[in-house]
Amino acid sequence: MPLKLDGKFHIGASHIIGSYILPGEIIDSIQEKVDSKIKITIAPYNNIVKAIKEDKLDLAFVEFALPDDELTHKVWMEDELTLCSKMKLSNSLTREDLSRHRLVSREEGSLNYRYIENFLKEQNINYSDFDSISEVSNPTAIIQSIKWSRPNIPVTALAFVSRVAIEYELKYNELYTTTINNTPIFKKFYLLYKKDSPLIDVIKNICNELKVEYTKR
Amino acid sequence: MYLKETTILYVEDDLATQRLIKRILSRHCKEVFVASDGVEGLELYRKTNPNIVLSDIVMPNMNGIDMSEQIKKLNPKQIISLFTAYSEPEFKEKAIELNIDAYIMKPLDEKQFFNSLNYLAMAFHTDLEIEGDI
Repeated sequence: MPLKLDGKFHIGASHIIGSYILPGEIIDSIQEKVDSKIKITIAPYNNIVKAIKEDKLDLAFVEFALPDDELTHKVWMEDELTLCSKMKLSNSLTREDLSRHRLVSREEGSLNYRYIENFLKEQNINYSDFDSISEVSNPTAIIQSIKWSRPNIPVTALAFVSRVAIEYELKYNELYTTTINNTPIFKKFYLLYKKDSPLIDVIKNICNELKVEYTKR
Repeated sequence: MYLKETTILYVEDDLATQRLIKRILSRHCKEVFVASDGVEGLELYRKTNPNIVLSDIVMPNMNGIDMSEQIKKLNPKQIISLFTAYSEPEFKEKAIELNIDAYIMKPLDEKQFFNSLNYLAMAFHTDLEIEGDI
């Protein structure tokens, strides 16, 4: 039985989750639990955390989990980050190969940038091993930048992007994937809410259902 | 759920494609209105006030971009999605300017088509803000 709320139910989501994961079954199942209009805001992690703490968002779907006593982060799904390019490359690139590639990445200092930086460090690689880096502000811009890059130039553009965001392009050979040192990158998605949220019962109910649905897949 | 409650105006000049997509949309959406070019699409838009507009780009009489521009003048918040192929880059700049909500890639892929439709239905039925103030 859906719970009637006084106002809207406010959801926050990262760009990838809001654009590719929530639409369809997931948002439908949330709507079934709350008898109110839903408002969804797609925003960066830090803005979402701030809004959750201020009770401006009730529940969020995020790609990071920085510890905070006020908040609960629950592991929800696992995503694969792929290294993609317009041109088909070998299945695995080494540190030496990277000098022939330009990396299109998120802004220096962003959580996404640091996430990739940590992965590269584990592979004994630095951002400086790439020929160059161009920074863009969101995942859509990264994908567009790779899609519209010229495939037959000496320095090929590469980007780390979520596999769910480029399924179509991979299927129709408009983009290709490779790895660094044959190492895939898996990243977790999290459900995020405030421990003492006024809507905690509704939120827990939604989270339980989403986690059950996910484990069934 | 959202898709079942959504009305769609679908504009496409290729009759075989039009029949196929109309059949799919009719199965999953509340109501589907079909037009064969931009002029007809705009007229039908005025009459039916659909939740979502799906349109091809290259069509006779009025193309999908010009029709979208006219529709956005009538309702700047109208949700519009265009079918597009990479052979149509000349429309890209104008489409960005018009703030088109989503692109459905050609050749048509069922999974991608439904992902886009579900996204558009979600955008209509919820109050969706991208990079908005919280």
